[in-house]
Amino acid sequence: MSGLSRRDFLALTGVLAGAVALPAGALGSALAAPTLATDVPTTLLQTIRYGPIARGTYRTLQNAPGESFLERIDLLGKAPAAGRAASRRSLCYVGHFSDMHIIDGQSPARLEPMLGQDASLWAGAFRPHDALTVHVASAMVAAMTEARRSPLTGAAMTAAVVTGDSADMHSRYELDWYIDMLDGVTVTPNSGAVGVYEGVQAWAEATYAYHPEDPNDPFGILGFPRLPGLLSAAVSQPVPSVGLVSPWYSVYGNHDTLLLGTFPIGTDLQGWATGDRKAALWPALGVGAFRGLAADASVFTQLFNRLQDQLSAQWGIRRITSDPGRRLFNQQEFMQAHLDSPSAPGPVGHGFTPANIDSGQTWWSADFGPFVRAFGLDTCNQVVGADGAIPQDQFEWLKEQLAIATRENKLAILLSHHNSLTLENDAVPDEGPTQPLIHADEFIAAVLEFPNVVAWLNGHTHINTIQAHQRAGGGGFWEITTASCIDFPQQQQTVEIVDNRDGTLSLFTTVLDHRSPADYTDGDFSVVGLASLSRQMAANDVNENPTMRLGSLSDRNCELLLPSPFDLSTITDAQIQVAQAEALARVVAFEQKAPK
Amino acid sequence: MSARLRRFGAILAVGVMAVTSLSGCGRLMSQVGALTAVGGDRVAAVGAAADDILIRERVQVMQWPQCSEAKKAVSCTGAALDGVPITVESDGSSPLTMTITVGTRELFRGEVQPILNEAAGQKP
Repeated sequence: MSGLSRRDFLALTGVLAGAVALPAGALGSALAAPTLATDVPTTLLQTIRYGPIARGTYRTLQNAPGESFLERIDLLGKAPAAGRAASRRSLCYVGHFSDMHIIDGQSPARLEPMLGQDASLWAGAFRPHDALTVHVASAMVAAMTEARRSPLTGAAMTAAVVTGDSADMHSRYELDWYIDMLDGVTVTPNSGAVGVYEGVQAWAEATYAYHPEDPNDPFGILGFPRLPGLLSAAVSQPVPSVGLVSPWYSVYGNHDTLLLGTFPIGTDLQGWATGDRKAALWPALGVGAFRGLAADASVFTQLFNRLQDQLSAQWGIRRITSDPGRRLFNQQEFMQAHLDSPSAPGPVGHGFTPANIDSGQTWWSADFGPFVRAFGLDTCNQVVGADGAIPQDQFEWLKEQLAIATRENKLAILLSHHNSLTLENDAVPDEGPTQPLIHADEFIAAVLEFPNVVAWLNGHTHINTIQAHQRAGGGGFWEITTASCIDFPQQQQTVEIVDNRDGTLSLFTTVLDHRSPADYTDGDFSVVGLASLSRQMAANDVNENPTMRLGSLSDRNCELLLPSPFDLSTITDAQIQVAQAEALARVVAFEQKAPK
Repeated sequence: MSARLRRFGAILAVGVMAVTSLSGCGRLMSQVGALTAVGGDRVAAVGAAADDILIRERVQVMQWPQCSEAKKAVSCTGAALDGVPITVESDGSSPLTMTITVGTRELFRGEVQPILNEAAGQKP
């Protein structure tokens, strides 16, 4: 198969360079220059592991050796050809974010005090690094952007995806901050009073929380550091973001759908979210916020009203600066915010279109270059519960679309928030129409009917996990679950689809640590310093099981082989060169503008 | 989301059962059933620790163990390169333990958490 002729190559690079306002030779030079793995900082070169204990049981982190690709042949069923590395060609290179959990820690609509009710039960309601999520997002976007060219093939990133749980507690600020970080817009992660932190980490009576000014709390006893000035630094300094180079796409997570990813949002809670009172203690939260949760006339109304009756006192509530910007967004606003974001890096809507707004349909499909079609699913339950399922109408739509993709010889990847271990939610509304909810076994069986599906990218459990779903008779697809930006190890990943030109495909998964020092230096309140501190605190979060979330070596940097679903020689080298030149034009344009 | 809501679900269940015993409403019960923790933690922990043991013991793997959970117990099945079955069993007790068998050979029997901690670089 031949590639582009020299004349066609020059014409192509000239057209693409003109489209992104590059000097004529810049793109041609970039295409000719190979990228080496050593040029791209990923966990192939170096990663982060626990270091010595600093105080109490509090451990530092330190750099550790990189992890090379582990070959997995679960779906191939035989040893792969030895010569494939010399002949492989990249078809699509994707960045994968999930579970960014951007937090406005000063919002009254948060449920932190529930940690004081039962720390093991409500672990996700408060983390010691809640004030530092935008800093982590900035450092993670930096890592993804540094990996804009594949460490394996040098191919430019085709697209990035976000598989849900972007906004932790439904605050409009959280939604805007996450979009801004990906778009390269500077954010000052504050709400309420300018430059002043008003929240549970500054209130002594909130004994369940970490107090960096004076850690005379359960966290301090464990050895969490004393860091005066941390909270005001976190909410007062602007956090820049380099932004993504490639177009990025988004799907819903349960935290983008329900409060704390679990509970329905009543109208009373809206007033509470934008008001001037915030609960420091959980009985007060029961009186105030849960009344809003119970406003939907469901079974919760009866239970929470009972709780309210029993807890009539208003103690445990603090006055704070009200802020209408803390309003809780609804389902339509989530999509509209994506449509309203800047056109670069795009695409407009990030998967959602005006048709989604009109129809209320919260799922979409999009082509990631000429060879791959992505399907952005909404697996979230709209009623209650953290785990998910596929509604029947979306299931039927997906099967129809996969049939079309098969006819068009497109490789298909599925994107969703929930993974196959967490698709068992059965909750339906109290009244009104319902439809069947499809669970994991039925979903996987249906997807296996379509050999073109090669991967399912998701998140939700905050654990690096890779599972092979085998088709009877051979082949199947790979399910790839990434860790989160909130819990240790605070890692995300890239996935590259490569044609080995021997009747097999390989999916290369490469894990990224965010771009901040492994070892936090006490008192470093720079943006990368605070990102580093966040990872260190997450590694010491006693309400979590941090080490489990790393997954195994077999869940991180891997080469995942599978039989080609159709004759890939129908894709010419010239088509691949054109596709890669288009993606690389964005990269070169970015590099020309970016400060050295 | 990682909050463990099982106990909360149980508390709600008591209240809801009182309500539904009168109304007999299955829809409400579907909501209570949804108020469980994010799934998958136990399966993921056993699966990751088992894989790390297989790597440490240099087992040539064709199919890495696929795990499922039933009533807290986790069981996983896979295959070595020569086709010999790999099995992992964990009864879900606390502390979490597991037994890994390759063919007829017991490869590992012990606690899961120390394996995960060691893989993350924690030294006693």
